[in-house]
Amino acid sequence: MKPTEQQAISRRKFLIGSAAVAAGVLLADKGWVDAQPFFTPEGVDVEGLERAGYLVRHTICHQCGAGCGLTALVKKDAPPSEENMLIFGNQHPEHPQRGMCGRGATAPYTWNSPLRLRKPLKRVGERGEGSFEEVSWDQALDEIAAKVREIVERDGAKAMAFSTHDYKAEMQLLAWPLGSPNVISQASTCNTAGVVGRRWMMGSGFDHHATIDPDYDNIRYVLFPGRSLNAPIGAVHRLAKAREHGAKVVFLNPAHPDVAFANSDWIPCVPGTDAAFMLGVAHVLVSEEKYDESFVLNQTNLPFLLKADGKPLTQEDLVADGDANVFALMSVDGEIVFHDAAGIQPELTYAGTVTLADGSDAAVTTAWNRLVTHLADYTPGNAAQITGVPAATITRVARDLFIMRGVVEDTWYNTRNGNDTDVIMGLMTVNALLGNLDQVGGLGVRLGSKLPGMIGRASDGTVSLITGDSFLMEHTKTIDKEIYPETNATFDAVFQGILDEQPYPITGLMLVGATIFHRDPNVARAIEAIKKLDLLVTVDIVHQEICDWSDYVLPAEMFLERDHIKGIGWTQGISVALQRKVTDPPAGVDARPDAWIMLEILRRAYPQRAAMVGHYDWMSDVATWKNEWMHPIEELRIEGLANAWNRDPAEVRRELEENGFITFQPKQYGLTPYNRPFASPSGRLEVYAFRPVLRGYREHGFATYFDPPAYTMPRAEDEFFLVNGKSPIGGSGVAGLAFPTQYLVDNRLWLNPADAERLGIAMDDEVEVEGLDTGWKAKVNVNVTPRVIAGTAFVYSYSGGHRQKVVADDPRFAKLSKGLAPHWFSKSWVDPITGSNSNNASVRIRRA
Amino acid sequence: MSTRLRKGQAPTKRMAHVWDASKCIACGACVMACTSTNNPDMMMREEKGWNSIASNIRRIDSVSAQGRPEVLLVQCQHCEDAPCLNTCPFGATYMDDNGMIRLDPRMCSGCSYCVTSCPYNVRWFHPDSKLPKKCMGDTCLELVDKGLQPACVQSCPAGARDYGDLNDPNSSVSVTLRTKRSRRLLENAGTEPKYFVVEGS
Ligand code: SF4
Ligand code: SF4
Ligand code: SF4
Repeated sequence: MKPTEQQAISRRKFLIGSAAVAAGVLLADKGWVDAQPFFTPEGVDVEGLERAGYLVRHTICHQCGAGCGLTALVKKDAPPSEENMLIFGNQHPEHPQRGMCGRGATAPYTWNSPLRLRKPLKRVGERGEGSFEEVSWDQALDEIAAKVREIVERDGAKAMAFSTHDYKAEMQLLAWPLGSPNVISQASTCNTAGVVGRRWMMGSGFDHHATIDPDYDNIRYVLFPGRSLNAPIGAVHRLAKAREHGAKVVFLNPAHPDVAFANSDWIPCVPGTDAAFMLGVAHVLVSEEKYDESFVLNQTNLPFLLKADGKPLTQEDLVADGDANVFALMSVDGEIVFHDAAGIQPELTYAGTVTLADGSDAAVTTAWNRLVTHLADYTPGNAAQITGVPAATITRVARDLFIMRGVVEDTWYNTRNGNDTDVIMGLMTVNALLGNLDQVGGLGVRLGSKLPGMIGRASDGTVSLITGDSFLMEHTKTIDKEIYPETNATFDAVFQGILDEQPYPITGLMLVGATIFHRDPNVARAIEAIKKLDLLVTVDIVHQEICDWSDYVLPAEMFLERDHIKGIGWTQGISVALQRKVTDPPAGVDARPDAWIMLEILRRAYPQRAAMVGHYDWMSDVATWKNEWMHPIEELRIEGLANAWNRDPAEVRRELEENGFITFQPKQYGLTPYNRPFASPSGRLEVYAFRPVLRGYREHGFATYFDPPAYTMPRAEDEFFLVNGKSPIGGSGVAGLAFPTQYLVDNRLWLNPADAERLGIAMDDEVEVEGLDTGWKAKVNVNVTPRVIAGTAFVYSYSGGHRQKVVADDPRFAKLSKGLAPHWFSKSWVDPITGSNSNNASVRIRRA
Repeated sequence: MSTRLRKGQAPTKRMAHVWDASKCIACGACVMACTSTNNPDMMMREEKGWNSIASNIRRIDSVSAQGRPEVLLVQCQHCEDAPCLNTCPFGATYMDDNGMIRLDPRMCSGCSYCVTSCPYNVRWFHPDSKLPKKCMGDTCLELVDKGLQPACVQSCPAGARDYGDLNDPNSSVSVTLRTKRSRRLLENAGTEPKYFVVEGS
């Protein structure tokens, strides 16, 4: 919706767009009669509302990790309560990531949930028992600090590990001054396979899952392999508009994603076979000559010459003192040319012999020739055998992609079967053939926002805060990188450190917003590790299952209670958003900011080290700390951002406050890689990934299909793949525990009607599920539905199998303990190179 | 406030809900928004009859004749020939000038005739007042009176919902129904429902 004429003419500030859900509650139930006149069909008059005692606060949703735009209306000078605030999606028509989905809608439920953590808790019973006493913040922080000190002095700082989903910088404020590099996120249970695949093909800086995304506004055809698009909801909103203009949306997935209800095609496939599907599509594109030849020649490394051993032919091979990082191609004139030269006209199909610098001859062939040979194994017929998708469908998808100039989306959560990096490589191979990168309706590459971070570390180990404080860290390599050379974060390494004391012992663990039992595969092993720890501290918003196993549980502020500035991901242009505090915590909730908690533990353990990051004893009062520590840092970040874009910081802040976001630069098409090379060794989209070949990780650089190594393959009649996915209602750690989730998200096990009939299972029957690898047994009710492919069972993640005592004890939340947590059954297979973990499993299913 | 019609009187407006099944992603935002807007006292309470949250919208999962998974959102259809209105012994259920089927709580005895007579099974009982509830909720009615859209329409991130006057050929719902393929639920029940399910372009 564009601003109306009245809005355009009026000098009053309007909240553009419809007034949203919020308006409803305020009009009648809140008795906010005086606010009524400011809600009109034209929009919401912000200044009028402020005069009447209401504040409009834009913020960033954090009910999942996607960060969509929300807006809240809050009553000024009133006690915090659901009655005094209203939350709805930011309605600004230009907002690049408008909220809100069914998870966002649970934010008020989470805020004052009976499961909300209210006071610091200290364990009094056995680990896992869920018995706690409430203690003061001072007692909790002092005791934790003393224990941290004991661990650091006895086992070394590296023995302290830290994990979080979204609060890495906050945890680094404690870990790094302590001297522990081990802040390790959830990535390997979510996105590592994709990150590594993208890095291998496009290089660092192009590897993040929020960096490359379909240009939804203009999309014509998009295929989502394995992604359910349950988030960000702003992308769904845009896709809905594209569908209006005829865009075709196709999901490749063993289970039918909720978003596919919206007039999309769903192609069911056997779990773990997406790479074969992609290579089948690539086969059709190549054999039917349906590819963008100019893109293939000029923007990919397919014309590059390869030696018989699979390594690229380099300048070093060809000339004395040549550069090993400069690669050779054959020009159409029959001359060897180097990739860094201008105006190359390469030959795509050259094969022959070249003379090397040492005088010997070497057989070389282009990567294209090798690709054609490689793809010979992936005829649609062969791919159909593997994937369970008819050959005609594979052929049709390939043709549609080409004819409609479509794209294959590059996935987000993809660590499932152990062969997932090849899925990303396969789908990027298809995208390379389509040549539809950074074009209108193509796969767009987003540039960085230039928003400075709070804390950073240089390659020499120098840690710097944006305030200018800095110090040197001796040991910077995280424990997972000692084991998995290509990982972005593999938390399994921490379990190895605890259980096997390899490569060194881990004895203390701190978690912020890390729902271990619903995040990390192999719960039995996680429990074994947790039991061995000397210290486990969990900082969270609601009482997760992991809390029951923790020595101390500390209540953290939720997003409605904090100020923060953040870049917006999964967009085309460059945008930044402001998370503004909407309310204080509800009465009785003594929640504190994550960063303050970390700094206070540090200060109480080592005051001098806290001083290195500018935190002192007089900041133990939260309000003082916010004014003296946090606020100046956020201001410096805004200042850095404004300076980077040649804008006035005050103006940037005002605009952020007024609209909730700023788009600094709209999408500029045709930039990457055409005028801005990728960071891969060749600067091109490397369909033949050089990095894993040059580092000796792989024999060749192409995507390949191999059977999933992550679990025993199901073979018998009653054996199934077990896969999971997220719902746009309860699909996150916090939203999974919201009251409505237990009613609106199905926590039964999905079975295909053909399987159910064979096993004599009817709708809602109870079955026993047993992990083929973990032996874990659990009972669950069945939903017999064609929404899952035969031979596979499906559960929504986060929405079932919550075993914490508070849930069991509160009849209102009884349903949350029903259902399964998929991680009971997955064995935690980790790829030795990429460090990517795998959440899928195989199970035996029997009538209970 | 829109007025109560007498028997045989035609409404000035024929306000209708349009739900676009070809856009809905089953995210549940409207289902929750309906509760928090119209029955905030029920936010943390179960609706025992449906074993769900206390929303005026219900989700039904089904499979099409072609074997395609489908989701259906059902709520009061504001039938032009409404069985609930016809069976209410006390005249508590009535149609207003906007064509909305409404309940006058002062006249309602809680006898549940309307609940059982509704072929769409969209009425539920509030556990405290023991009176039936359904779309439109009180707050949504106020929103509509102000010229705003009801909560479900405003909350939908996929643009799958709309509400407007069938008598106005230029209203967005009229345009949608003219240009897109749509159907009504239980078409043969003779209820003349004013809830439209858009199935595609
Ligand atoms: S996808 Fe939903 S939960 Fe996640 S940030 Fe967006 S609105 Fe919030
Ligand atoms: S109009 Fe209001 S009461 Fe009716 S379904 Fe929508 S939100 Fe609920
Ligand atoms: S809010 Fe919209 S997309 Fe979500 S369930 Fe309701 S109608 Fe469907």
